[in-house]
Amino acid sequence: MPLRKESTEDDLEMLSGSSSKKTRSVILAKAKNRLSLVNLSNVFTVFLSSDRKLQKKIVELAQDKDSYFGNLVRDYRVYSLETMVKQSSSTEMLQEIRLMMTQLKSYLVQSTELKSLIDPASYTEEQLEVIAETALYKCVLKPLKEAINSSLKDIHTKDGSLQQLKENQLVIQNTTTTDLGITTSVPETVVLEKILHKFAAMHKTYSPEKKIAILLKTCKLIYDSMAQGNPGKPYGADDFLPVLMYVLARSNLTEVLLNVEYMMELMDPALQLGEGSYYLTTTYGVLEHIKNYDKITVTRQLSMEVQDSIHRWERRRTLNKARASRSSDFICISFLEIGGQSRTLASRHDTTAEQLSQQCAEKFEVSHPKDYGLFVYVDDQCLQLDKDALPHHIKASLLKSETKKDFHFIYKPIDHKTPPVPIVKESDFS
Amino acid sequence: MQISWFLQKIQFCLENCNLSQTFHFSDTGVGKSSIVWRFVEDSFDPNINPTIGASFMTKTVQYQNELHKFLIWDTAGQERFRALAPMYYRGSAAAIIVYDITKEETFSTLKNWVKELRQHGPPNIVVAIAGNKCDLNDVREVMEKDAKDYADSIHAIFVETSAKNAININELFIEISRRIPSTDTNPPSSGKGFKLRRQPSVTKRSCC
Repeated sequence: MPLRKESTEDDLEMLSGSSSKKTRSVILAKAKNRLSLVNLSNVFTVFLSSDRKLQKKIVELAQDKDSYFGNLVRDYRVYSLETMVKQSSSTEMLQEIRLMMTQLKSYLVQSTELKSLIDPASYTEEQLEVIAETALYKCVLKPLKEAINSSLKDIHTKDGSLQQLKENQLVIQNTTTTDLGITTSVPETVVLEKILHKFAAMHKTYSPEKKIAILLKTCKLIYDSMAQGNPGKPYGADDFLPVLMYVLARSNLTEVLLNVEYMMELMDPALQLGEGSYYLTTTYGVLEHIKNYDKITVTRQLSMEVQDSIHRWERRRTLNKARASRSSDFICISFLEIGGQSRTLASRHDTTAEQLSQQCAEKFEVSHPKDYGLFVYVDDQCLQLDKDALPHHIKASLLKSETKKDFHFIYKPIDHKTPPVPIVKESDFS
Repeated sequence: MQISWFLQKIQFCLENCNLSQTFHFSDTGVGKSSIVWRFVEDSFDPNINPTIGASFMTKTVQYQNELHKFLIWDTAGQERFRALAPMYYRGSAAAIIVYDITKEETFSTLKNWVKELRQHGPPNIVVAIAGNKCDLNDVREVMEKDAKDYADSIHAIFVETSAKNAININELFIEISRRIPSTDTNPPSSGKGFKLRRQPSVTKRSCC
């Protein structure tokens, strides 16, 4: 259904966007098409609207500073922004983000916070996961999208991919369709413009699922133009790949590369199979092909490179699924004082204060970690964490406490002179 | 009757011989697209194939008490795209390799595909060999017996098909259904029916 819904929206966009140029008959056809879509989607309006409402509630929960989920989402965004700039591998960077989204989702679906929003009996866990996934696109990916894109661009500028694509793009543009292996018609200028318009729309949207839906529409446009003059003939991959290469060589390859990686790594790992997966794989393959176009002799070298990259993709996805079940959490820790330099650290729920201190020592590059300890300020009272205390539990308890408490975790030197700081081990702040 | 749904991903690949790159409009390939097309087209359900092109198609087949859904991934056979093939066959439950019985060289390249699949493909992948265009018997270059012997030697399914006359196409897919490890690895989710969005993949992955 979301797909159907999207096509309605997309057609609306197209209608309002460039209606002046269209002839009346085209508009009529479009309107007719739209009407039939509206009729179809009406059937599901009730279903859709309750899902949408829940989605909206989740987004609101994520923006609520007093909710535990809201805190998680915020800490997560901070953490992502911090780590993103340090990554040298695009896939690792995106994987990190996907992993945390999956963790946020698994927390949310099991949380009492969500259960208080809905009648749990009316949704299966799977339905909740689908709704939570879409909500997370909005509250996590939307605000991060620009940063993600610029980091990806940096990474691929450094590793030379963008340059390679750019050089080969020109080569391919100057290659005849015959030499590219094309045996069908290619998209005419008007269709090509339409395709490029779709690619631009794909780049604008932040939802990986929506991007994939747009990718499928562009593939459909390509097929339609291939069939010009020879309708009804089934065109397979032999025919499609060269034409896709022709089309991509006329697009903004940087954007396409970023989008393909974004979709591959950030889409819900549970949605691997199907048509979207096929065309995403194919687009990725053609991009690799373009990137290595100049090298195409009969070497196995290239083959191994490409094989390897896709193999790693599959491995990562499997790995990601397995890792997602181990839940972890985020905690924001300031160095030396409230409002000082701070880091958001990801660690498992059952991490002890001692383990977290070690992480802090690395992050803040402390030379004598033994002299430092983890503290929490609760409403101006300073407490030192026992080495076996569980910071995540303390944080959860503080967030849940009936009287709202102002609290900060601080990593600072242990001071032995002043009256001893109370040590906290249990996590009851209610 | 209990019907369980699950997914099978089928790899569909072929080698177009180099000669085919002389770019005639038709009759250059060995006809793999036509085979899938024929298979999907002969469906009893008119709504079954809403896919956007013949590179990716789906079809559901009833096999005993189960409904098997095939996701058919087509792979470009030209030498220039050969490096991309592993992207397609990884994670596949079965591979259909098609050659043209009227072109000896397509049978040789088929053997290379088999070799590659055995070396780099999923360990339990079901391999099927289809000699297409058996309606063109008078210009045959590959003897049926030779191909059958070869297929037996590598434990592959073997059929001669004609996409033109719909010969053996369904049989091919039914035989694949029979050989693919069944619901044991993926118990049916009772009462939920067909889940469109989240289907567990039953494909065994290679870990090399």
